[in-house]
Amino acid sequence: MFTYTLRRLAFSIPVLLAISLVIFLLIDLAPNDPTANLPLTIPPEIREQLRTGLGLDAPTHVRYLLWCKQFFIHEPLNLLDGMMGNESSRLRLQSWSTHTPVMELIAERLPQTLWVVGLSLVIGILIALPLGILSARHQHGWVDQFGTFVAMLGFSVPSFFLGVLMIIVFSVKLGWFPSIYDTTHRVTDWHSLGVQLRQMVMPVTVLALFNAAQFSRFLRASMLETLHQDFIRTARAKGMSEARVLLRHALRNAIGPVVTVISLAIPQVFAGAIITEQVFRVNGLGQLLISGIQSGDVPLVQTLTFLFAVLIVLFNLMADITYGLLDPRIRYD
Amino acid sequence: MTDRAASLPPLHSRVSLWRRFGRHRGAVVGMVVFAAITAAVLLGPFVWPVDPAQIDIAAKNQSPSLAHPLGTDQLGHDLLAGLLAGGRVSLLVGLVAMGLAVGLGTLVGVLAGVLRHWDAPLMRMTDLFLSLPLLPLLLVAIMLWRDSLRAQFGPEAGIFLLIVCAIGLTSWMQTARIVRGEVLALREREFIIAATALGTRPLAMIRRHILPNILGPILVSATLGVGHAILTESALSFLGLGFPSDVPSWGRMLFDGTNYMTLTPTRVVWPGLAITLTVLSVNYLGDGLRDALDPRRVRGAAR
Repeated sequence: MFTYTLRRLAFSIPVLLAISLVIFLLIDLAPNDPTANLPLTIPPEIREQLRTGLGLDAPTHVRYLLWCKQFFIHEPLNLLDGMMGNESSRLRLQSWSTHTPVMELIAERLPQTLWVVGLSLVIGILIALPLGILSARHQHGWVDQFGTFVAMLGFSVPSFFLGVLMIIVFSVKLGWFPSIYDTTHRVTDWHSLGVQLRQMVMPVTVLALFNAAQFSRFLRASMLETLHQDFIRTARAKGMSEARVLLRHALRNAIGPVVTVISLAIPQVFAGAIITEQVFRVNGLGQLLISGIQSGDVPLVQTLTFLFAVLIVLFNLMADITYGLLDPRIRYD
Repeated sequence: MTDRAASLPPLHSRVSLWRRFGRHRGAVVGMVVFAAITAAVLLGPFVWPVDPAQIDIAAKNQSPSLAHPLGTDQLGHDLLAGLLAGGRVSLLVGLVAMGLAVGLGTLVGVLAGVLRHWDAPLMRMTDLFLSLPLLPLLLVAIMLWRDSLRAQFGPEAGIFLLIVCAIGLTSWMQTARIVRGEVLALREREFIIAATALGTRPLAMIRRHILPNILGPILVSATLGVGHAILTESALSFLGLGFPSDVPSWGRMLFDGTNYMTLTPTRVVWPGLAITLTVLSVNYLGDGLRDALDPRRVRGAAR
């Protein structure tokens, strides 16, 4: 298992390098002029100097290698220096529009996104567990029918429509929740905690609903397969209570594939958060990406996109490893 | 998860295929609803001959009335006419992008399944595409290419081409995997071996023996692909990086409506409902097709 993990980790390095190259080329080959948004009064030779200042006169491979050096070598070393309390003077990835290090921008926005994504995952799983178990226990029963319909809705209703609908109903008509997420809000006492929770309700609900739809379907399928096996009949024949049969015997065997699915779904939740953040005006990573795209901030967009790719590769790896850990019958070596 | 769908049954069982499909209530309702939406969008302009681009400032931000059944927007555009026109854009994008994705996926899947030494590289490429962060890349691609394509092909055709290509090029991977699996399973069957023994050329083999037998799974992923493409397009438009306001799709109408949702909330509700209904009907249709094409699933459901 350990050697397998190491081998997979080692293999993900060339994969990530290939992805970073693809992303870099995609952005680089597009017809794009970072000085296009500047006032027209700037003469062409100054424009040329601005482009040189941004390093755009260097050939493509040099710029790619420079980006790699800054991302893979300078930034981790800077982080280390920061933790030791040393001042570091290495060249950092700079955002073109704010002229501050990209990593600082990302670190600023990360907590908001992590809170929303994390909570929506937890709540999605909490809804999916009973729904999936009961759907499988009473196949074709009303819980199952209801679950199927909710899952179908979850796959078909666009998250932005659901979000906007919730704003109309709960903010505009009923006035229960604020429609705009206030990230400057600080939690200091019980009252401010309540305000914070209230503003998180809607973004988290939208994302959690989609997670619950997806996870509950997989849990149902996996439970159905387990419930038809002989050891479940044996457990029932021994006179075990239904709850014990379901939770102790069936769930433990059925949960493996579901954990894999959850792990594979996490990068998708982050991508979904891009849209949800836009609906509720949460200034997290998604909004940073959109504003970066709109202002033509290539280093920022490139780094963010690559970080999304890192998430995908990392959670794919984690899915494989946890699958092996949860099910001792799986042997990778 | 990989979808296991069986190959199309031989000709004489087409009738039972229809019967199995007909027994799937959701699928039939889905088909009817999707047909109704398509018909409404195509024939609507003849029944409701109002120009969606006509501006009437005097009648702006109106609630539903007899003159404007769905009300008007901030410039006095009739929203029913807009909804019908937007539906044509959304459905066209969905169908064309799906065609591109399924065509590309089938090509890659068949090549990987038939040519042994192309299998590994093609599948690695598929895996690489699957680990790309698609939504951010779509946004970036549209932002960067939008202006030059609009200049080249005109404002409407340029953005249409860009969005269709962007969605098509990023959603062929599932089809490729399914098709490859089907082709690999098919290759072991006797009639393929017999055809090889008779000296059938590779191209004729693919056209005469392989493609007809994997039509079922391709059809299923095409149906589900339409829903996926419509959802992606509307998400892009909602983020302001899809169709512009002068060629509104349903997603763009929803996006434009959000600024006025305290004033005229129905502006948001109708396009959103249209997207939801279309995608829901297509998904039910795809589900029913999959069940009808896979006899194993039907038996499992009857148990």
